Amino acid sequence: MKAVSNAPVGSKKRFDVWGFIIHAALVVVSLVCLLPYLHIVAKSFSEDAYVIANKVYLLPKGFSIEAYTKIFADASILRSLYVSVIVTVLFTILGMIVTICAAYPLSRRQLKGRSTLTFIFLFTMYFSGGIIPEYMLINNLGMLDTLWSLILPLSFSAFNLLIMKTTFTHSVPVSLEESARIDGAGHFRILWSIVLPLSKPILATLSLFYAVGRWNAYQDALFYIKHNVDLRPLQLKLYYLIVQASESFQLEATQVTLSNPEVMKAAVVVFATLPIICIYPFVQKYFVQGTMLGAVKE
Amino acid sequence: MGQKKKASLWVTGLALVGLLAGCTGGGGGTSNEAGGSATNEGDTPTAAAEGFADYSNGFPEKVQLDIPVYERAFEGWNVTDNYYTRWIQKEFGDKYNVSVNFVPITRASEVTDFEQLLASRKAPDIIFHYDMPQALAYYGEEVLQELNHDEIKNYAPTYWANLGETIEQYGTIDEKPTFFFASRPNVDNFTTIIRKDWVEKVGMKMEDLTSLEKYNEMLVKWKEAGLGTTGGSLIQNSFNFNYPFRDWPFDEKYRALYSDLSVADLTTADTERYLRNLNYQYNNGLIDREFYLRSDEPKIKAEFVAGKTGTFGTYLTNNTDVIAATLKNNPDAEFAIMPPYAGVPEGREPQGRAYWPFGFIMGINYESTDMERAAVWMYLEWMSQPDNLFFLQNGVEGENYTLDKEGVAVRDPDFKGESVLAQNNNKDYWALVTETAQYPDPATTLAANKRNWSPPGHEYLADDMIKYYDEVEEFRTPDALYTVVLDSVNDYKADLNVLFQELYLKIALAPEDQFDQLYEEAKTQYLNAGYQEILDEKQKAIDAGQYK
Amino acid sequence: MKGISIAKSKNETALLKESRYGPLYYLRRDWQLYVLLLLPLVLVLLFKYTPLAGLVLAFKDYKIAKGFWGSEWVGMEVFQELFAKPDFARAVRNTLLLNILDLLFSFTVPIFLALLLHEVKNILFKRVNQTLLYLPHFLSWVIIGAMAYQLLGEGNGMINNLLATLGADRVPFLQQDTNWLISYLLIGIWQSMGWGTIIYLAAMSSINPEMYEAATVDGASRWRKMWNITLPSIRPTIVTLLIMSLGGVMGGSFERIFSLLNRATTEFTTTIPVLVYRWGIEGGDISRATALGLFQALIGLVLVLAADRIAKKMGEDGLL
Repeated sequence: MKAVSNAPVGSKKRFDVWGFIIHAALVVVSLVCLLPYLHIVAKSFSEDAYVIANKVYLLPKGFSIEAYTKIFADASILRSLYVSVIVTVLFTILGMIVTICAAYPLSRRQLKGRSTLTFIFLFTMYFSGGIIPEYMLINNLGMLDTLWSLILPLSFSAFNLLIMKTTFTHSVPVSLEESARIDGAGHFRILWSIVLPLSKPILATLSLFYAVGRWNAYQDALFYIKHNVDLRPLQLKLYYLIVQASESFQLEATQVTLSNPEVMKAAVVVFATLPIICIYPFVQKYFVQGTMLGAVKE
Repeated sequence: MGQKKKASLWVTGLALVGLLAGCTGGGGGTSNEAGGSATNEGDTPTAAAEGFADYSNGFPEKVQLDIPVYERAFEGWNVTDNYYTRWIQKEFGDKYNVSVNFVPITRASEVTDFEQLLASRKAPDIIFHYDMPQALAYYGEEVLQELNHDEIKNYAPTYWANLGETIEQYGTIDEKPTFFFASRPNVDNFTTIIRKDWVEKVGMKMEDLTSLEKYNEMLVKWKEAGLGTTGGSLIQNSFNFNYPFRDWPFDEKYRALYSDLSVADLTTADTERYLRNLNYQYNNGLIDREFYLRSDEPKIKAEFVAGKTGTFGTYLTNNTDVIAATLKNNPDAEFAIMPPYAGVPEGREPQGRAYWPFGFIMGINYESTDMERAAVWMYLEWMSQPDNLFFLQNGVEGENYTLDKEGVAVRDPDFKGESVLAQNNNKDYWALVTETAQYPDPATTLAANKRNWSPPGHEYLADDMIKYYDEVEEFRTPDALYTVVLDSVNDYKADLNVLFQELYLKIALAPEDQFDQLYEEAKTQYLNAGYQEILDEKQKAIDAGQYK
Repeated sequence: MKGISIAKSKNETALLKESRYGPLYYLRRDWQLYVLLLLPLVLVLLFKYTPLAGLVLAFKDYKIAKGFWGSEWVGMEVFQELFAKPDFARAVRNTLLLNILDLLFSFTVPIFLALLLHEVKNILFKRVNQTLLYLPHFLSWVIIGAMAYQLLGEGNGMINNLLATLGADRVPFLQQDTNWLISYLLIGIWQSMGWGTIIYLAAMSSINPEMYEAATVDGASRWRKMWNITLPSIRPTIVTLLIMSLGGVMGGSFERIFSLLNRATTEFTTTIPVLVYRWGIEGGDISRATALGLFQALIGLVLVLAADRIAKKMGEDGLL
């Protein structure tokens, strides 16, 4: 790939040594990140015998797509994919609403009680009641074995709130807001038609954080989705397939080999990560330069 | 932005808070009720001894029977709703007006699962575990009811006939009847496979492997011939490593003090002998140099399949993939079962840990009602009927299996129909009454076991395994069962397990001349970290005769 | 820029003047802000604060059958027991060591990486690289741990096999204490650096391009622009993230350590999250695990508040 100079105007005449070095470094680092994933993909297309013996590195050995055939034939895996998609979409929408609703007021200096309120939100980053009390709350709310248990409890994230609050404070010029206020706009108007449009990159980013976070998490599902196995999200399924099946239990007399084949595990990893990895390019298009910001900044 | 939507969400939020407040209050109330019912439980046995209600025509009201079942993540298997759960509901549930609900318990984190379910009062009617120390921990948490043996006898005569003796012998803790069991027939298919072609390549025969010394000699030759090492793995969870290094015959109290599957011993001469051998093998390159990284079966298997190690301990089964995979990577490989004396020092006996005579250790949830408890007994009774058990274990004749002339069910491995069995032959459902499948007579059982254990084309492996197993029968002893709760074991178990691994590896991987010093230091550290307290508490229980 | 700071201070004087009004005045004036806060507040109070009642378990001898309220109060007994454990001191030391090193490296690398990525103007090149950089974030630690030993294992790790073929000595990347620590840090950086750039890139994307153009006209070099324009514009983000990370100095990921450790290299592997797991999940001692968690959280909170104060003294916004 040819290095592209970053210098904006008219400096393309001479070879940009630093530009080249930067690009080369990025290519190397990216490859280091890619290789392990390639390794898993290679495993998922290999024959069991070679995978068991740890002989597959970056290319499949004894090419086979049997594992994928099995995945697509397994109704429970497809069902988990469906559950994951639904939960992730609802969770992301709710998470963004909550975060915006909290971040905007907390970023306004005129808000009375601002630091107390911020503290209330921030505090939750460091203290949690622990697994059992949280579980009992979900139980008392009657949300065990419902998708709500995967959507509501985590929809507030102190981390995302602080990021958004910081951005709102800094990316929206006070002058712009004041001129809007003089025009008689209320907070709802200012939020909707000035702050949000100006914050597209951070909105896109935090949506991505919410979506990926939800997609990857399985611990809560492990606790909350107990009786109704149809509601297991994909990552929980993956957890069971990978962690569960590799344990051996000596007190049990076992009649058959219990572990799921390694190839199958690799294929499920690929199957479970591909959909969410594909999201990023869509998010990225909101990372446009803040031209609008410049236009109004007098 | 959608004001209406926001408003409605807000209302929902408030409603939730209200609900929560209500429930917390309610929670307090129920906990009092539970206290009340617990005292009721105390007098139930006496009241009921005069005569138990007759439910043989069904319960007067629908009983919700919650049965735990291990979730092992079998591909394509729904553990709570499948052909067999529906069959159980139809055959047992509908007949007695019981709704049988299966509660999946994650196999690898079963204790956490049970504790959570208990905390939210959603635990199943049966609480089970395979290991006595944990079962005692449940007892110590006071989540198990006291039982009445007459009641079991009344509702489950067949089950009681099979297991009553075991229950009476082992099920009473602090003089309270607490546990009931599944039977565990005396079989085991855990064995060590060895590369026979390697043994012969260095000019030895399988018959030459008559002691650990001989075995180590062979390993030296393997190394010189550039073949490989003996397989090894990290010691974890089940601490039965030093049996072959113990004295025979053994002292009863010594056995009770130092045999514990859940807490490793580091301080006896037996363990020292074990460690010396491990240290010797490691320093001379006779064992997998990174044995401590092999912490689960796939990792141990990888070394064997790749031809780097020549031994592999596993459950031998007819569908094992290890033989085919090894042959694919090493076409000349031949296999044998490791003879029992190959791991035993000269002059000692191949001792091993015998299983207790029971599989599952079960108790009744402290919150279960009298009727739910009766339903449990009736469920066990129903499952103890040979026809029902056989159907659960084998499926539908003509579809899942056909009977051969010995009367053994021969499975069709390619059967994929509606009544397909779980990958472990539905064991997690029928394990409530027995740990392995049995036929009415021992000969048929043996034939059936052989069939299950014989890898195709390598049937002699199963034959040898059974032969060796029977040969060393007399040298297997179970460890002691205490009839009181040992608090120190529960307190220190998790910490000591980690410390043991750290110390034994430090010793085993040390240069030979540092062995003595390191071992002495490790002993002191281990005793101070809680092991001494455990030994003291056990000694007290032993002196008081509170063990079996 | 100047206009903004003037406006800010004007605003602040206005606030000072208003402070003699009662709370109702503000409620009326800013009611829309308070309405917005309702939904987040309800969620937080319900799902984050209600379970905090569980922290009382640290002062009780928790028995399931007795429940929360029925379990016996034991005061500070659980804490005394906890502090007396030999593993406790070791865990505190290791947790601090691992996390401070992590803060030095894992925290800074994404900033550098984001600065580099920001220099790339070819959209396709940038997107492809970014997507590849994110890949490790999507692999769970269980998988990463298994791969780490397949690659870095002394006996048959791929890299060591390569070294051996080249005639070099095998390196115990994960099987010697100091090396393990370095590998642990590097793997952590590798796993999180790409993902960590996202926030910075988002912040950078709202920099006014005219500023770069003006600087170019003035003849500023690439590095000057980076130093004088790009870095200052992401400074608030860096400060926010840094303060938040400080709160995690007593915590950390249990899974990361658990999947990278081996039982023969244990000098640095006993940490607070590991103990919480061992005592709470494996040992079933809920009270002790809760007490340790509470201790950890308290120190984390103190650190955050201190860092917040310092940041404010240095003229930054802080969190509160």
